[in-house]
Amino acid sequence: MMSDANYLSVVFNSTIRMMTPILYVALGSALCNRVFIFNIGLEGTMLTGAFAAIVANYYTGSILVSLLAAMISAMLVSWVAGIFMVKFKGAMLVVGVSINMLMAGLTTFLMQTIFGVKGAYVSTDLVSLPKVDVSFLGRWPVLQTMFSSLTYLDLFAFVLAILLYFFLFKTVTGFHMRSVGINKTAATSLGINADRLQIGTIAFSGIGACLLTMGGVTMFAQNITAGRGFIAMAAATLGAAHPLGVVVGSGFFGFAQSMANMLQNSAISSQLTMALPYLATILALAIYNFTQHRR
Amino acid sequence: MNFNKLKKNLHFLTPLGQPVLAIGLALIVGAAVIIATGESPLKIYGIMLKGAFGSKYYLLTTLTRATPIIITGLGAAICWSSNYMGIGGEGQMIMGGFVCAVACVHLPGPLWFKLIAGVILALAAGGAYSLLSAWLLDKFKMSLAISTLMLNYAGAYIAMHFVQNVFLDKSGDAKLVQTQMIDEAIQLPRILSDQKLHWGFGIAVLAVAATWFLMNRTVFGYEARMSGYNIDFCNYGGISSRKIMYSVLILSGVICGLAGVIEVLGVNYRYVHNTYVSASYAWIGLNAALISGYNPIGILLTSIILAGISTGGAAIARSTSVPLEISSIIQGCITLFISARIVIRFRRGKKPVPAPLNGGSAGRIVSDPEGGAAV
Repeated sequence: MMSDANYLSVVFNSTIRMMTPILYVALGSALCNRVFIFNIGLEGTMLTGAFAAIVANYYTGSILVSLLAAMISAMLVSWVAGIFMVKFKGAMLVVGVSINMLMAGLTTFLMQTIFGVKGAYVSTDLVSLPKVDVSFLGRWPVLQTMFSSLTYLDLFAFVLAILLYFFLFKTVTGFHMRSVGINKTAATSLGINADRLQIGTIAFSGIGACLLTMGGVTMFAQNITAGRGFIAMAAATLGAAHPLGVVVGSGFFGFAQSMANMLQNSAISSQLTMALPYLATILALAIYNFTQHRR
Repeated sequence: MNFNKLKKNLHFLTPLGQPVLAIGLALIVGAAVIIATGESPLKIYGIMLKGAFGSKYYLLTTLTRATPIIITGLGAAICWSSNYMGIGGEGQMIMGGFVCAVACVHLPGPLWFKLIAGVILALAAGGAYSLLSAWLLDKFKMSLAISTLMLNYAGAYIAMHFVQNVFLDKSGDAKLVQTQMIDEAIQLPRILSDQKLHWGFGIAVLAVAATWFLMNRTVFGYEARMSGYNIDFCNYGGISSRKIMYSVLILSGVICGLAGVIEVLGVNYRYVHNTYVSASYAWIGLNAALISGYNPIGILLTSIILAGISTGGAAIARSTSVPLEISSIIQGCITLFISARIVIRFRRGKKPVPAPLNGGSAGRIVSDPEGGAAV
């Protein structure tokens, strides 16, 4: 049996690793919310990024190229979704649902044609993201466990959240973005190109997807995101589309998921713990909305 | 020939124009993907068409597959046409199927009682599951899209928990997470004795007629549609939009629950974990509802086409190197192109009409009657 401190540090560590893929996507989603785009297609976007990363990894073996591929492909998909939502005035939910279905099909289709496998492609030949070396913490084993086997991208997620906070609240472009969200007509009359801002809003979901496929085991599986894109949307809503709030929201979902994993070895049914993050989402949003309306 | 005259003559075809155009564009995208695999699109589409509608066996398989799609499509149409955009069909279908399968085996009493009670409980379960998200919307203003999505995942795992730990069928292949088979006497009979198609398809057609009647010929249907067009007008006119919201969402949950019931009674004869999710019946049903503009009769036809794309996809996966997923690529593209319908109508207008600005879309905004709803 692990000591309490040790157990907590393991939970902390797994929470971080569970939350950062969500955090990247949630930050993208938060920016969408800021300009009043309800992008349910983030699930498909994330799946695309995950797949592109593995394909680039397979052909080049370069981390940098894989990251770029994930980001560019995610942007491409978001751009298509954005065009249909903004330029063609397509209903956002419809576009999102279509993007998800299309990308779930396309990634599995291409996985089968490129790798010749069904279900999942796992290979140890692929390079995985470099881990942060925490051996200097050797004197404090609890701290070492807390920060072990994290990638640099995990840490960058938090930096990005802070950067986005400054971008949104301290720069002119950020101000423009927020003003589009508050009143699009007024913002447009001031000559702010609302459409372009809306389309160009997501690119981070690709990085989050990389963490999924290259963070631990290097693999791509059919529907590997398993609803994380949707959870990220919920996290963004929970964080009130504020970058720092989104960190808290994602942390909550990361915690719920890591608890689900930790409890799998206990007497509690693993199927029920798998349902936990989704139910926790509902509960958290209910509590959040309840307090908002009280005010 | 005068173009305007031609346009006038073909005017009655306009409601069909958009779906046909969208399907055509989606097939072009599909063709591009097929070419990438080194196959000929014409050949593949030929095999697909044959595998979907080419023989009695294939046609009836397609109709069997279309059955849950039609029913979940109706469920989606009822709430989406009132501008309540729930995407919880999958969870509600799981609840219906799971409850029905368990009740039909484990309830005490004679078979007829098991069947009737099982169906009623299952429909109630589907409705109650939808009621939950309606309540969350009403009391906590929680986005219907998010709550229904989360409930889809939660429902699948909760049903799996009970199947695995309580109701597991230990007699057969132990690897499948499934309940025990229901008695043969209460299974839905097949329409033709040697084919898969069961009378659930008949029930689906009846449901289409009933939904059409409800939406177009009753006061409730009128009020529900009006609430979809303009909720403020509705409230001003003395229609309680809250009541409408609860009614359409519960009804849509009951209908999606029915889809699960039919799958249990007519196809699997038990609840098998993951069958509804992996076939994405409810999502394709939603697509059918969107493509046909929430028209029940349109849903019937569109569902059969979409089911045909799925069975056709399975046929090409069997005989060529093109993967099965070509069907979801085509299906996704169809709805994507359908969503752009508004702009096409604007382009047809003589004067350039300034596009409406979708400001404040976090709440509900009035949707265009024809052009799909906005969030």
